[in-house]
Amino acid sequence: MPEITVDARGMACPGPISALTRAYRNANNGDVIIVMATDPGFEPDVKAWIERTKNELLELKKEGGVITAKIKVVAKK
Amino acid sequence: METILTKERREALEKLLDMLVKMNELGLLDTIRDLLDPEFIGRLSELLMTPGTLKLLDHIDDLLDLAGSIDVEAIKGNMPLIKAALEALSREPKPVGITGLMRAMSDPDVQKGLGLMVELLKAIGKTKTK
Amino acid sequence: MKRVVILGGGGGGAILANLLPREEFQVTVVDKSPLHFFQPGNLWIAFKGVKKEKFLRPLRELLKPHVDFVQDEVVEVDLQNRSVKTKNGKQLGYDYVVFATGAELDYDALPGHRKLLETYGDFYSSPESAEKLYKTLLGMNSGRFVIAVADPIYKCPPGPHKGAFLSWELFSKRGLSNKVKVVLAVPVPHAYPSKTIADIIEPELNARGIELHTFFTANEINLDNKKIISLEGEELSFDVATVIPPHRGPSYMVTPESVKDGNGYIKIDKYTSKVEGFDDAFAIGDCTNAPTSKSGVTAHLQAEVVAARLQGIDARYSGRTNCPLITDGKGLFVISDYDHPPIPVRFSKFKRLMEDLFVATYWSAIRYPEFWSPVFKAYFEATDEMIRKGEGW
Repeated sequence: MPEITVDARGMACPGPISALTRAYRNANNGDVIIVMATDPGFEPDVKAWIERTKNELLELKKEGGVITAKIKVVAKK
Repeated sequence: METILTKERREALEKLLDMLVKMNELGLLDTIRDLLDPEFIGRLSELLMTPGTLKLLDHIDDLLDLAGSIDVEAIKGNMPLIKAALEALSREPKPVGITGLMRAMSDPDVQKGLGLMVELLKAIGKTKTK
Repeated sequence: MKRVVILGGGGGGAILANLLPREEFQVTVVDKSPLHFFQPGNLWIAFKGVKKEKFLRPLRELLKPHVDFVQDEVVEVDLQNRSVKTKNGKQLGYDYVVFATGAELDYDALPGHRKLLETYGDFYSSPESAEKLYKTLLGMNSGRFVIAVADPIYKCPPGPHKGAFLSWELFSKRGLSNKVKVVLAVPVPHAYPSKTIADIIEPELNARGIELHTFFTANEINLDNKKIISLEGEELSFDVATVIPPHRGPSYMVTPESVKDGNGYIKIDKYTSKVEGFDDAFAIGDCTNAPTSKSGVTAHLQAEVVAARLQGIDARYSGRTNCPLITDGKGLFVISDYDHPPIPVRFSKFKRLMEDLFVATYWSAIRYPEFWSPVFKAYFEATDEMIRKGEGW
């Protein structure tokens, strides 16, 4: 199960949500994308993205100022 | 060359050159040259580009409109008042209780001031009732 | 004298070349084009009909006389042997090399994209294409004009938004604001990647009746039934459309290949612009993997950092952005850095004036960067203070 890590910590605008969407473009169903971000705006953004795209949020944790989201790609056509 | 220097351009060029001669005589060309110094420009930029000035300048259009809407003639006469008020604010006042207040109200200056405060309150209140 | 070879004479490379003191450095700029193009000019060409010549100048004239200019195309960079090979067979050795070749736009990634580009033009690929788009828009009297994005990492993040506002202005001036619908489709959850900025832009889009689609990553273009299909499974119909393409790093060979990331961008230390694994190689501008906006400001600031570092000063790039977004008459800047998301900013006439001033001084800033450095430095320091204090502007 291919794991794609997106280290978006310390990323200026356009920020982690753009890094996630870009990784999603190149990912396939079955892949797991792990995004790390320090921008607090990423948390609501990734939740909204999961809800809209219908991909699976496996895990969302916040530790020491870093938000880590583990996403399973399932919704690609 | 003849086509580049039309009669109008020749005239304009001559005036420009005369202007430059005058500026040079006045030492202005030297001044401009010296001002085009990175250090001077740097200091000027630091003065003009602070968070304060950038924020102020960002509202320049609103500020100018506001300033323009003020009836300057009307408030010109009251400048000494505003000055006096601002200066009074800088002096450390002694706390005043009810009895102190009563005593103060027999002072003719305070009475005049209170009259002014009432006018002020009326004016402010009027803007709220509109 | 240290030999510095700068690949690319754009907004990053030309400034860097002109910043390096001639007494210490022998500078060569390699660029396949004899002309330097002010890329933001594409907006004025495509939406205001300004002639492209206004934004094109011979690179030779913009570079200081002591800077060597080799008009040629880079085909290989061998970082281990410190050599650059060009298409016409030149071989350049160096003490320092700086990648400044920009990003490459891929119009063949999305089915139908190249045909779309050839049919309508666009405001990303070239000034000629922008001129074509202007003609197309002038001929549009009704229908839907769609601006979409194929990949969220592209140069000039506010580009599509400026396209939406300026095209609306164009249609509005022609009295067509009720006949032509401007549609903006972006891959992210709100109008702009940063919600702070999106909250400021969205009311302006609404006020003008510009149709906004979020979570829309353009993936396929069907010119027969005039539809753009997204990765997320949605469709947008258009009468005229332009799609910002996927971007990539330089395609010329670089040895070792490992310095390029999965998208071909040169991997650098995001603060020092040093290429990963090498002390004598740097990269600036759109060709790098720096986690910040791909913009002229980034290239300029990174150029200043590399110029300082080559002279032994420990200068660092903070990731600072200053992306301008303009609507009719007003503007704002997206101000952020590696450690801070964008600060709240308001649209104002003053900011628009500042942007106009910047555009007007561009050529001077390229040719005489040392003159404008103190001005830019003061501006960035003042606005950095706003970021640090968490203030808005």
